[in-house]
Amino acid sequence: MKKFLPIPAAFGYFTVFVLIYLALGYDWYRNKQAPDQPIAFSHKIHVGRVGLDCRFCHETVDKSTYAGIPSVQKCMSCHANVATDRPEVQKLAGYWERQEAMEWNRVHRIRIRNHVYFSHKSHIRAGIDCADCHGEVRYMDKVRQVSSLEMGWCVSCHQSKNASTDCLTCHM
Amino acid sequence: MEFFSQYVIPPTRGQLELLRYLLVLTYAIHLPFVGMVIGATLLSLAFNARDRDIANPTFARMSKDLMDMVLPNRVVVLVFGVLPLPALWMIYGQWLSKSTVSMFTLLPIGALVVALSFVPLMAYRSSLDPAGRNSQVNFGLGGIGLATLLLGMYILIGAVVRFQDPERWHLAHDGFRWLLSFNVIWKFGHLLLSGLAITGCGILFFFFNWSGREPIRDAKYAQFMKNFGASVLLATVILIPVIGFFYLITTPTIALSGAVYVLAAATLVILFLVFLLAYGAILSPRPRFGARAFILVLAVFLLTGVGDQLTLVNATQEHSAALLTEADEIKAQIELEREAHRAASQVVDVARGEEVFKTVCMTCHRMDERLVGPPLKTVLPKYAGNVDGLISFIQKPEKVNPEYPPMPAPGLPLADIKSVAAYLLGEVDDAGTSTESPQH
Repeated sequence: MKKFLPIPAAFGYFTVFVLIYLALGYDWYRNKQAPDQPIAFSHKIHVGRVGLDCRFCHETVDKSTYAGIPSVQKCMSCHANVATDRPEVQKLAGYWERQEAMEWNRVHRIRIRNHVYFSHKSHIRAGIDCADCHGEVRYMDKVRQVSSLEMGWCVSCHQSKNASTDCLTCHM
Repeated sequence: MEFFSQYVIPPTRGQLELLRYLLVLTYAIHLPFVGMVIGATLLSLAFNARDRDIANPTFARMSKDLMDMVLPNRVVVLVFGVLPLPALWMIYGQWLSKSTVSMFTLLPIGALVVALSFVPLMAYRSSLDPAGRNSQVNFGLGGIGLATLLLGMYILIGAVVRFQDPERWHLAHDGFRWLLSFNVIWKFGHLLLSGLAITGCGILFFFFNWSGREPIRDAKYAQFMKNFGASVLLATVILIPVIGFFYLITTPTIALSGAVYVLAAATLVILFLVFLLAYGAILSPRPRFGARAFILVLAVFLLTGVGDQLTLVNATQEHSAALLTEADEIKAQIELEREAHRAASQVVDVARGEEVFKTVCMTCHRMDERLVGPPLKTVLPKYAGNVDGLISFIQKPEKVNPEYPPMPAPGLPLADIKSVAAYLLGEVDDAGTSTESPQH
């Protein structure tokens, strides 16, 4: 019987690895894929088809450290009249009638956020295109994170554009 | 990319689908063969070195048999080893045309090195002597061949893994430093182990189960060969899940999807079956299970190829969408020219223009009030007497007043646009000067 012992051992070994792989997949599914939003807002339609400039909705991107998420009021400035028969727009109108804020889910996750300073304003002023970091959102129905936003990635871009790589440029 | 971008027509959806299948097929032909050449040459060199130390005829014979197994003739080398290389280059060149990633650095260099490595490897195979008079010379040839093949495959894998990480595409100067990333190292390790695995079951299959080969008469040698093949297979099958795990955790998030993980887990199930067969081959006094193990390991290569193709598709979603949009634009342009040709002879129909205005334009516009767009009475007068200007604006609107969002192209046929322009100018004219409707 002894010679058959490796079989259950191997079964256990492979099962453990199958479970580990599936756990990694579950972690991706829960935490890393593009998140669902309260309404299925499509950048592909608004940026790709209609041709809205990023700044039309993200108004503070060149004025503040934060790009800003548009208010329900901003959406309604068009959608009080446009595409009012679409279910997702009706959902939006529901938020407006209830005077309720939309709770968008964060798409761009930064692993370690402490002690890092990032300003949208200074990057826009330096002439960086939104797509350089956020990818071609005009082709995305559901926006996903395309850049890792890790330090090595920041530094390699700073180097290629001769921007400062001094620690204090980003860290305080 | 300039070369490809200039000559490659943007692919349509159907062509992109076809490229995916071609990519999997090319992987499925090339990687098992190259893996087996790496594994067999490595083992052959080891036997060769042992033979020179202790002059063992079994080792000398094994060293030669292994090389004869993987490099039987030039046609096999050409079909399985060399021809898939330009195919890979063409597939990736089309898939990534108009992107910032270079098709002229890592990929062709790696492919060339791989192709050249078969020259010393074939010379090594021919130089081997089954009678056991091996020398430093043929060992050197084999060593050079193997080192060149490993280098070429490492560069090739570096190129392919880079394609699934678009955030690094624009860093052109990063080309060779990128080769040291962990993702590339683990993928290369995965190929080495899979290569040894398919060599192990290749020994069981080609020497014992293949009808095209004469059975081995020397029972002791057959026993040694069977146990050796099964042991190599067992050892590598055990290690592959570990290296696959490290590869998965170093793959960029953008390239991943649920299906990639499920495929990776499915290969482990197959590997467990291969483990059972290899263990059975060791226990059994007769050589068995070679064909089944070989087919299962080929299936592992195939599933890995499907997974690699999926990571590329995931990582390049937006790039592919851009290519498809460009293809659609070309198609639309042709359609527009045809339409213009047809519309030239059509009569402008003001009633149709009113219908179009009410169903399409009134979503955003009114004559007298501001809605999403401006009140038309304020903007139309500037087109009085310039109907062509209005038609070309409706065809391809541009942002005029920053107070309003940009107007999307309505995508109407030219005849409808002409009719609606005639209707609109007529309306303004009626209200403003109470003269007769202009004839357009």
